[in-house]
Amino acid sequence: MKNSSSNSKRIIWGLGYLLLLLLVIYLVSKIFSYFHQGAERNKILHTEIIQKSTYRPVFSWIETDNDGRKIDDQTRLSLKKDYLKAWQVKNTALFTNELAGIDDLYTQSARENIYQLIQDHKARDLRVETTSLKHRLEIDLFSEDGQLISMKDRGVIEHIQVYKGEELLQSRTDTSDYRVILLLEDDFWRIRHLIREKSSLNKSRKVEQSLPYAINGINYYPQKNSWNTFGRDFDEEQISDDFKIIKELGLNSIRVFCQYGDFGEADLYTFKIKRLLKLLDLAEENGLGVVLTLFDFYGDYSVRDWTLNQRHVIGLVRACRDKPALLAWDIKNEPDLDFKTRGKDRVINWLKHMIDQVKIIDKKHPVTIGWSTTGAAENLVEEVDFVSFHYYQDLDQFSSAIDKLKIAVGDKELVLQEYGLSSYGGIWNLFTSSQNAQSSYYEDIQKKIEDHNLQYMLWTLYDFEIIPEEVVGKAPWKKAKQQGFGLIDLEGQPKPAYQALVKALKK
Amino acid sequence: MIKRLGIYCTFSVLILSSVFAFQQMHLHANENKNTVLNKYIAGDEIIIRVQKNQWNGKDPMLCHASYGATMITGEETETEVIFKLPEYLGRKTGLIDWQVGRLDGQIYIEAQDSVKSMETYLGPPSIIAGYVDYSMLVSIPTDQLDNPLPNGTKVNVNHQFQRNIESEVTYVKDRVAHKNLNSYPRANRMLVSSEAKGKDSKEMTLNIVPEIPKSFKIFVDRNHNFADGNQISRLYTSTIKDKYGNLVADGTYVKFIIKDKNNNTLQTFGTTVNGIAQANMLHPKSYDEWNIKAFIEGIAESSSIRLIYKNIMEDFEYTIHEGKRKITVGPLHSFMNQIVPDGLPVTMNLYQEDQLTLSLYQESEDGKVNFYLLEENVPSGIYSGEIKTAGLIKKIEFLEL
Repeated sequence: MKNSSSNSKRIIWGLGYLLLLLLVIYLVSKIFSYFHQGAERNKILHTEIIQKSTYRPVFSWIETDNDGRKIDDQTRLSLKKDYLKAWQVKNTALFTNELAGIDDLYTQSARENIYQLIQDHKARDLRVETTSLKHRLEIDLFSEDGQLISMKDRGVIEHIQVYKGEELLQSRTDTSDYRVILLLEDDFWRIRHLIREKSSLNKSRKVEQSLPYAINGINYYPQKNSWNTFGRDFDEEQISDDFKIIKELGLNSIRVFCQYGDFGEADLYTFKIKRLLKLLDLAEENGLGVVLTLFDFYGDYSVRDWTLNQRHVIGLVRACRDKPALLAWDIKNEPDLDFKTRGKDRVINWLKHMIDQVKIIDKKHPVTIGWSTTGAAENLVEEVDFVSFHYYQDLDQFSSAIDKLKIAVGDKELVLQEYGLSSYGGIWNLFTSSQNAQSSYYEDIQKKIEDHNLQYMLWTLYDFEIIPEEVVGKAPWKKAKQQGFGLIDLEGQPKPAYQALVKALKK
Repeated sequence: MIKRLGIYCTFSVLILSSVFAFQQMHLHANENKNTVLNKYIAGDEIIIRVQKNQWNGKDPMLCHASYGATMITGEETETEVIFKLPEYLGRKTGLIDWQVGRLDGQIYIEAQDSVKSMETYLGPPSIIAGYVDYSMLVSIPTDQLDNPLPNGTKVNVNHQFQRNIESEVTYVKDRVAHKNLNSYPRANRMLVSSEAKGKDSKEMTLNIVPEIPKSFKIFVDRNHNFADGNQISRLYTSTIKDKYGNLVADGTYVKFIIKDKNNNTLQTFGTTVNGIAQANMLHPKSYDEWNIKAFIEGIAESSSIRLIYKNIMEDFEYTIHEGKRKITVGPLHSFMNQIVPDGLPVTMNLYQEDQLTLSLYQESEDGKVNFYLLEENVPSGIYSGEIKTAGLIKKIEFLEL
């Protein structure tokens, strides 16, 4: 007895000593690494700083013969650079109420006007978040000595949001013509006079498009590349096989996601675009239509980002608009989830603008937004061509929710763009679901869909092994649930829901 | 207060309507709306009234002006809400959009009808005489509040050149008035100024510089034509002028290129003073023929001249002293039999079996040169030699040392 207690004492002492030792080593290593970090030699040169422009509006020249000296390409280039910079610093100044950069790009008398505005805003705690999205320059006069330019900036699209403190007071998008007089000073083209001469309020474009056929589809990610369809493992054969399965199921369309960052933000990666086009071709070969969801995993919406978002969307839409498989554009997946963190008005303004951008470039395909609930889908009904919403709630309230939405949207087509049930039944959800529950869910909901005459896209073809953090967060119970929404399990075997769906569709 | 404002508004509308009649081209009626665009003069107090029944009780007014947007809060009266634009917005010409909730409208602020300053630029500051080149005067007439005056504003451009004083009229276009000023055939200064609505700009100077010069001639001035390696020939140009008779600018660089009889190139240069450039060249040391041509590089060139420099002597003597280790050349006589000036180069070459073994060089002193063939340099043996001076060569066939 005594022996064992002295033994345990010895063990405790020994362990304590070990712990202490570890602690000391840890501390010493911390101090050591502290003194060995930072101040790297190459940092002196600032070689690591890569300038990436955060303001890139659509820009073009109107070619005309100007008075005075003929304008040359070099002058145009530096004029464009300085003039856009002038807008950028003005926008930034209005947003931050600081004057950085104004002096470089506005002459002494012109900058007074900005000073006064900002002084006033500072005094009244106002902040203007604004950007210009489009500039078209027409040079009227280039003086013979090359020191003065008078030009028109036509059709400048500006979006303005005025905040008092954190509250958005009002917003506006308009198109104006400006008269601009610039002087070449210290090698900068500086704005001497800026005169707004003409303007009109931007109204959303009313060219409506309808879906060519009723959507009976599915949300699609390849099983191995969940949330990463166009990644390094882009597998044409696999995708083609999947499309055949979808077609055999009796479905006619898929929904695919283009992630904002993944596709290169403002400067689209051509190789990603190529993969996307390939997918569209494969869909066409298999007789499937494609709803393309844009801006996935994007969540900023700030006005300063708009020119970059715009570039992204213009590039993508231009690349895909002529593909026969393309069915519709879905501007953003579940943007209403960002209402709380980003501000509803801010998100709505952003969505409106992006819808406009898509509609300018693609006049053939309808546009929608993938709202996360029937309630959220009542937003921007005017602006979208058909209303899309997701439904993961209790099926008992399904009918009443749909009826309510139908009243709100009038005669716009409705697409139930995401729905489904996870077959995961484990410790995390206390065994409340199962493959059979999923199967009967499909039996139920397909009936309801038919009753309400809805178009639909279910979630999803496969169970997934990998669920990225961005989708549902880190929580293991959420991940586990998200893994089990497929019709086909991780071994590639159809789950009961598969059969249930086939049965339902055959009816 | 309201009454006074009413009077004020009617007054400004009266003035504006007269302005509007003359300068319709600058006013932009809003195509989207049926309402008439309200116009103000820069510096006016601008007040926008909204009927209270069209107002939701809280919305401020968003104003989008030339230099940015701002927000103003209204003052409620019994029937309407009064939005008073901040003074700085009312001072700048241009269109202002306002928006209160779903209500919106536009106002246009005109520049004042007077000129405070004539911002004037003239460039390029110097142009070439003749009938082709020109400079441009750019003028931005601005009002008290630094607004450029509208298009169509008359601007007088005055310029003086020698006895000519002229005034020309131009109009503001694209908010800028500009006028090309043509050159005159005489090189001189032109004084330029502009004026609008009684306000004059400062005086500016335009330099009219000579056109590129025409071809010119060159001459030589030399003491004698002997190749004595001692005298200096002065080369100079005719008066260099452009085709209108304007002298080239002082200090124009003229390069004289000389080709000698062996086609070697020599060069010298001078810069012009009163249209004439001159340069000096030392006479050659032996007979030579020079072809000289002068250039203002890339611009003009002269006709060429040919000069001949004659030898200063026909013959000379030399003596081989006893022991043969000392050879004296001279006395050397020049073209008048005078002793040659010190410094005439004399060369002596020694050969052994046609191989050059030694070359000696000396310059004359009192008309003579002594060559010493020291044993260290020239061991005993049989040599031949030659002596060269002033373009002449004398051979020593057999020299036993």
